[in-house]
Amino acid sequence: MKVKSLMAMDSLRGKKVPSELDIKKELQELVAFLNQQEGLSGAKSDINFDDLICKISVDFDALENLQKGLHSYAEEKSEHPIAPITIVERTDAYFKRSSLRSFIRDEWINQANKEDLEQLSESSLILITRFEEPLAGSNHTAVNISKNKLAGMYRANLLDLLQQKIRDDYLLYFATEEKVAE
Amino acid sequence: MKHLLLIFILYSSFHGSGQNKTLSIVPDSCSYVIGLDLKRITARISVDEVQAYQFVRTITENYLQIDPKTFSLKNVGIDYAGHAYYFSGGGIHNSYSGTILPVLDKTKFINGAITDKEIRQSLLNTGRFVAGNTVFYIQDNVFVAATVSATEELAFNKTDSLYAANGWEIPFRWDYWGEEIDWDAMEEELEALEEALEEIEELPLEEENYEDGYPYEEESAPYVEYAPESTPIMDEERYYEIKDSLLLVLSEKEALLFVEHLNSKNYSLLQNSSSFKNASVSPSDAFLFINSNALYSNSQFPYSIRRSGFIREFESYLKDTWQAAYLNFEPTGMKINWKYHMGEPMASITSAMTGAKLDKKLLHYIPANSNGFAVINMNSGAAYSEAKSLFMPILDKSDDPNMLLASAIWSLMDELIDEDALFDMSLSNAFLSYNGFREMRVETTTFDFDPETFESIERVENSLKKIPAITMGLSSERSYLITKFMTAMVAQGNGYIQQEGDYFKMKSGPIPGVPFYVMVKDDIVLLTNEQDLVRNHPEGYGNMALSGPLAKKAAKSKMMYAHFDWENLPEELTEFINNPADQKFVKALSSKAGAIELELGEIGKDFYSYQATFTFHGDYKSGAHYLMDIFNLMMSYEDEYYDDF
Repeated sequence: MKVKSLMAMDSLRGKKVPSELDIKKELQELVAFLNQQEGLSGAKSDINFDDLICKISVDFDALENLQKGLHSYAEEKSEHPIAPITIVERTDAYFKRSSLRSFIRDEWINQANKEDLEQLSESSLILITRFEEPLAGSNHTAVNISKNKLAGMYRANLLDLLQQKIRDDYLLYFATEEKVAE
Repeated sequence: MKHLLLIFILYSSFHGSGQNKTLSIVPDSCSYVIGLDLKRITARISVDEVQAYQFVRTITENYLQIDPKTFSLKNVGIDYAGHAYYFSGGGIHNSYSGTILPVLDKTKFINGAITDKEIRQSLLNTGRFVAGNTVFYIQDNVFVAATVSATEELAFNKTDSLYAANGWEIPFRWDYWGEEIDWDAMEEELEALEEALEEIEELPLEEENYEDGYPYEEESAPYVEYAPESTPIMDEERYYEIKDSLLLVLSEKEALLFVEHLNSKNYSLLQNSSSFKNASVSPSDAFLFINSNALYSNSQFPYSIRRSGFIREFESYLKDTWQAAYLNFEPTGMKINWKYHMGEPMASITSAMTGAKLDKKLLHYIPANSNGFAVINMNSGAAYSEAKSLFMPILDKSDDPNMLLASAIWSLMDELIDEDALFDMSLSNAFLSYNGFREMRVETTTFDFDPETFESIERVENSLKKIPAITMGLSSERSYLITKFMTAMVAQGNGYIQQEGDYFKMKSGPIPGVPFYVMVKDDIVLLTNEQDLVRNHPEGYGNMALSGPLAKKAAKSKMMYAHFDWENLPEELTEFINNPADQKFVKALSSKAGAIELELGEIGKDFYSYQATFTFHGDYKSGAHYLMDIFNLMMSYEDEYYDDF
């Protein structure tokens, strides 16, 4: 209800509050953009304003295509050129996820109201990655491997993440053929 | 402007004959005027009591820069038998706001209240001081402090003229929203211009024609005051810098002109506006005058409204309309009488609305302990007929094809629709009640993860949350239509609406995740989020329903009546406020709770009015003391509040 009340406002502290329509339009734009990118298809979005849950999904032929698509969108939205970034990297031995926190400028966090930030302690960032090959483990304590060994889940408190009390870059190791046989 | 208003509150919260003296100074292009009868107010709260408030000392020290220990409001030279005014307004070239104070002793006042040496000397010697957009003026025992600014539009026009005269390229203004651009017309113009240029280029140059410069420059740029010797780098940033510089210079010119007008009776609102003259006659502790005429001519209506063809046709009704609000302090609170002088046609619409009676059964559904409620009993059908007789001829007389089409469609609808049925179903006989925050079952969505695969499973959970309890009800002979629609929607089977006994349950209503209930009982239709009402009180709250004087007032009300008591509201709201400073302020406000009553007041030939009565809870000497307490509370939290930003 708090979010609903805030969204009913025209502006907040001098900044325009986006309407539900603004957010939906932005999502539609993202989906249309992703679907036009090479190697990306079936992009979909869904947003539930009652609980403020937003879902975006996209099929990709190769990780490179996904990264390229996301980078192009960031460039499209930015006034300045953005250096290419590697969000995820895959080798035969491991899967590497780069830090998402590094995209958030420290001054944004420092400028934010302390009480507003504390509200984020009730929120979590959950990242689930699925594979066709079994996983052996991870280098991060916040990552769990599913019982069937085919998915890794990173879960961290959002405030801890923003305040850099916990890292959000990690490796998932693939099981070697010998270990799978055991 | 904020400072001027604060100074106004400070000086004018106290002792009231020199009304005409100060009143005649109010400029005629004012949109808003607030007047205080210092004699009446200081009879309710003394000057010494006012000076004892912390916020008054803060204003004295921080804004007036006077040591509050040595400063005495009582002895500063203000005429507490006079009237003080705050005004704001403007025209095509300027906007201004200021304070007018009656002064007993000019010299004593200047020496006691003006700390800046330069301003003091100027006022003592010439009776005026103008620098930048600041104006001080004292004459005939009337003191004026104001800020006057040139309009941005004027500064942009002058800047454009300067650019045109010097042949500099004017950057495209992304912030310019004034006129809707007709791109097609612009493209045609550009094509025509390109063709003309091609023709000119083909002509042989006759240099002797330009020896005396371009006569074009003289004619099209009358505002040019200087021209730099060399051409500077004219980028977009420079354009805005020049505009800002010109704004400062133009503001000072406008300020000087403003002072000249203060001296002239030709620019007095009292002289030029019979509305203001009428408004200022009624005695009151404080009054507010809104000059709709000035508001309209100063283009203060939103652009989209001004461009509307209908509003243009309706202009004659907007002009010469005005509002005046009169506030009087009482031992238990204060009363505000707000008069709308909208002319005879508009007043006749309001008058027609009052001829209805409230269905008293509606009151049975308002609990006696309700925090607030409003009832409406409008004769919408009669008001519609009056409105039709007023607006339809305006549309018919118009040359605008859209207006004529609107009239045709309106007439068609008028013939096709059963007006009685339509207005019976409208909210013309209705109520809205707010019954405080109640614990309600709310649905929230969470996610679970299958430990085997980490597939996410969406789970809807029920939890208890404090939610504002709201009930709306209307009385209609055609309530069966609601039953029919609800039954049809239940039959759709999508689960959004279910029938539970004698009522319908909507999965989610105006408050997300909170179920709402619709119940039709005879002529009464209810929409509420209180299940207890529809489940246990389908006939109304019985002896627990609203009764006594409040119920009588609501039942006998003309057109509308509202009563709201915010005794518990601040305490309940704190749960929804994140910022601790705001929380503290709202909690502190709970000790200054009260109740407000709003009803339609007198209806005259060309006006109608609303009466608001505020009654405070707790122990205060008078409404004036209560209001000062509220100001004090707000000011004490202001610094803490702004620290958060």
